[in-house]
Amino acid sequence: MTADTNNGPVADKTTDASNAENANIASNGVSTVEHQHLSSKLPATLTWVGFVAFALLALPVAGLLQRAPWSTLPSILSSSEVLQALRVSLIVSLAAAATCLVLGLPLAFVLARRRLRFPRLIRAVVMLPMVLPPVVAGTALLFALGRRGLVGQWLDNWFGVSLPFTTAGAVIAAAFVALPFFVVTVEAALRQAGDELDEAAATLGAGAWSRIVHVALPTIRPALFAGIGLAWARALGEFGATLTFAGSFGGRTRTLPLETYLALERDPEAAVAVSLILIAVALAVLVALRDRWTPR
Amino acid sequence: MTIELDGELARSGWTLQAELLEIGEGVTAVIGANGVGKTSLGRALAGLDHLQQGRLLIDGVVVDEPEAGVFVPAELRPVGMAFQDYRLFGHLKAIDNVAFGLRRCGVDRRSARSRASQVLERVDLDPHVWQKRPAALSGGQRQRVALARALAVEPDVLIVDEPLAAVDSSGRARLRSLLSESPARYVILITHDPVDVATLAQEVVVLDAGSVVSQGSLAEVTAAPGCEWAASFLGANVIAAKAQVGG
Amino acid sequence: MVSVRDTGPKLRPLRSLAALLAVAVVMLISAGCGASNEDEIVVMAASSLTDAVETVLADHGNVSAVFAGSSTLVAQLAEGASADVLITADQATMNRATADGSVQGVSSVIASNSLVLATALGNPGAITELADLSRSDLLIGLCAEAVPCGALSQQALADAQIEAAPDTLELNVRALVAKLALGELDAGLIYRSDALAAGLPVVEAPQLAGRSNRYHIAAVSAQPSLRVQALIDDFTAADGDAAMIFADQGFGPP
Repeated sequence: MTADTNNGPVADKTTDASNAENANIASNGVSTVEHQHLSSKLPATLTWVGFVAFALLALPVAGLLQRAPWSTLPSILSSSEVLQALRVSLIVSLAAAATCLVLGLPLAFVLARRRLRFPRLIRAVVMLPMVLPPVVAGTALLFALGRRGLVGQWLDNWFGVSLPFTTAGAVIAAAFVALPFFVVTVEAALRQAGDELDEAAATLGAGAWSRIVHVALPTIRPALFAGIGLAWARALGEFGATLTFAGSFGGRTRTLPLETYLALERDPEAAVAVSLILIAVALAVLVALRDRWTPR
Repeated sequence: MTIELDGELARSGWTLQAELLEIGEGVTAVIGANGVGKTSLGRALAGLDHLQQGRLLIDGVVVDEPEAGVFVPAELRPVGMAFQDYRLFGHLKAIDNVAFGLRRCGVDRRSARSRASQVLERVDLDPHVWQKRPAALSGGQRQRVALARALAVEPDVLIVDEPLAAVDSSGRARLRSLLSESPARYVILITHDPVDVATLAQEVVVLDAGSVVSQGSLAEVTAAPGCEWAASFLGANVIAAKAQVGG
Repeated sequence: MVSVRDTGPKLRPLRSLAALLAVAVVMLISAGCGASNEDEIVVMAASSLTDAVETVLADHGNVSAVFAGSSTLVAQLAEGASADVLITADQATMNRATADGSVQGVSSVIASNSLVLATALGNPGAITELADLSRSDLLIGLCAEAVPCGALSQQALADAQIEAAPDTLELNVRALVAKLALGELDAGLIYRSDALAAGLPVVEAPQLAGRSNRYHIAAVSAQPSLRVQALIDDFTAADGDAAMIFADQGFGPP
């Protein structure tokens, strides 16, 4: 009722302020019902192109299934090498996902909430492992953490710690390539969540840690699960960096992808069989997580 | 006891000069056109924004003085705030939103919830919506929850930004009486509603073009509104509002 | 006013993206045209031969080479990759290609590569004999048994009755050589040509005498064209240019 009386020099600011207010209200998730309603009315072309994209993703898997040696599958998959590689893969990928959570969460908060000096450069460095060829990533890790590496030589001299050729090394290689997926997902969610709820919690007496635990993390819960899922999946499929940095030794560093590569040398059919477990494990976990990605 | 602000607030490209703004106990309405800094004033009091210069005292205690390196963060100030855009926690039920502040002060879950339900009753929210999450509430219901959440922690200073905008007219009268009975010693009412000003405010502060242009009782401010906007707001609207409430 | 200013920067990235896509499409199409050159001879060769084969082919016009692990090449041929000549790192992979019919020509040996005990630069582990591969205080690397150099190594160690203590069984010899060159491993069994190319010290070990693999060449088609046959003859000629180039790079005679 007073908006009509506004004019003069403050008019511009008025528009800005009320736009911001509307945006804030919208971001609180006013009408999810309306959103679902709209999404069922997609243009037909869009839907078709979407199906083409899905086919691009699903067809290679269908190809694998079609070539799978179903009759010999049980004997191939129950071989000790494959079971050993499965165990190493699960340990390495889960440890890498946990590493991403522990290290990536603070980094995501710093990127989203702190004013940084060279934000673009820092963000580019964070995303670098996504574009780096994995073999290069592994070599870079050797240069940094290897026995002759930048930091690795001191680890070796002072603590007698040598990471290459150990399971810990395989975890580091997998975490290195998986970390950006987690950080980027969580940072985007934190940015989208904004400061509003954080400020509200502060006026209610919540301190900095309390706001992170009781407000920020529950608010971005779907993104947390999505980030962990992506990082884990990336770690599970990791090949090049692991091979280069951690080598390949049965029961220690030889993961399923490395076992698949070896099987390819001996018997391509066995390689298909081994990659089927990788797909089965990944699908099982990703499907289970999918429900958690979407907010209730 | 008073809140004293003598300083400058800056926020993305403009500043608010408040030279010796003194706010006494009771209900103070802050009025002015959109974008003159009403909300920024509230944010500075709550500790969400820093003063550019000068200092801010609450009950004689300096809570912000950049030159002296003093800044008491929001969570340690005796200030509560009900936001214009509600800012309810989407992952919590209405009742847990209200209990949030109490839980952070160390109150156990059961007591916090029972206290929260008392406050929810006072803001006239039906018990059947207490267990709903904010996304399932209407605008008016959300506003009541937001108000209840700020009231629940019983702050000395209660800042309410457009407290009744989304509440229908029948609910407003009830919430107004709730605000006037609030145990908070200072209630700072940021509002566009002349009825709020006419019925609740013991004191009125008028902001315009980045500074405090008038301050005093309703009668004093009406006599010397300090800017065209306030003149028209206080003139026509308040008389109409008084007629509405009185009639 | 504000909203008009906002649309500018939003449109520009879209336009440049479209331009980029257009460029990419044009490049793809032209690359596709290049690949369908009918007269070009395609040689598929084991990756350990990269330098040698490229040097030999430099003297031949209109020949291109594809390098990968022997098993990968055989799998690609089986899936219908078009090539005229296949060179594998051992007999077994060549036999696989012949068995499934993807290679119809008769194979012959063009060179050999002997297994050597190589150490990191400066030999930091003070390796003096093959038996040092069983020292657990050193970082030892071998090829995995499934790849040719690994099978060769296992056989040699078994015959010498040495229980090696490897820390890694690499999936290809190049990865093993790289780790020795970086100093991350103290010693490993690799091919002489790789040690020579990477400048790695070689410790003479009598138990490794005669341990070598043989590179096999074959025409893919049963009736190769004259040019393809001439190229294969160049590789197999005992005293030709190819033989000299191979010898220079550490390969042994067939």
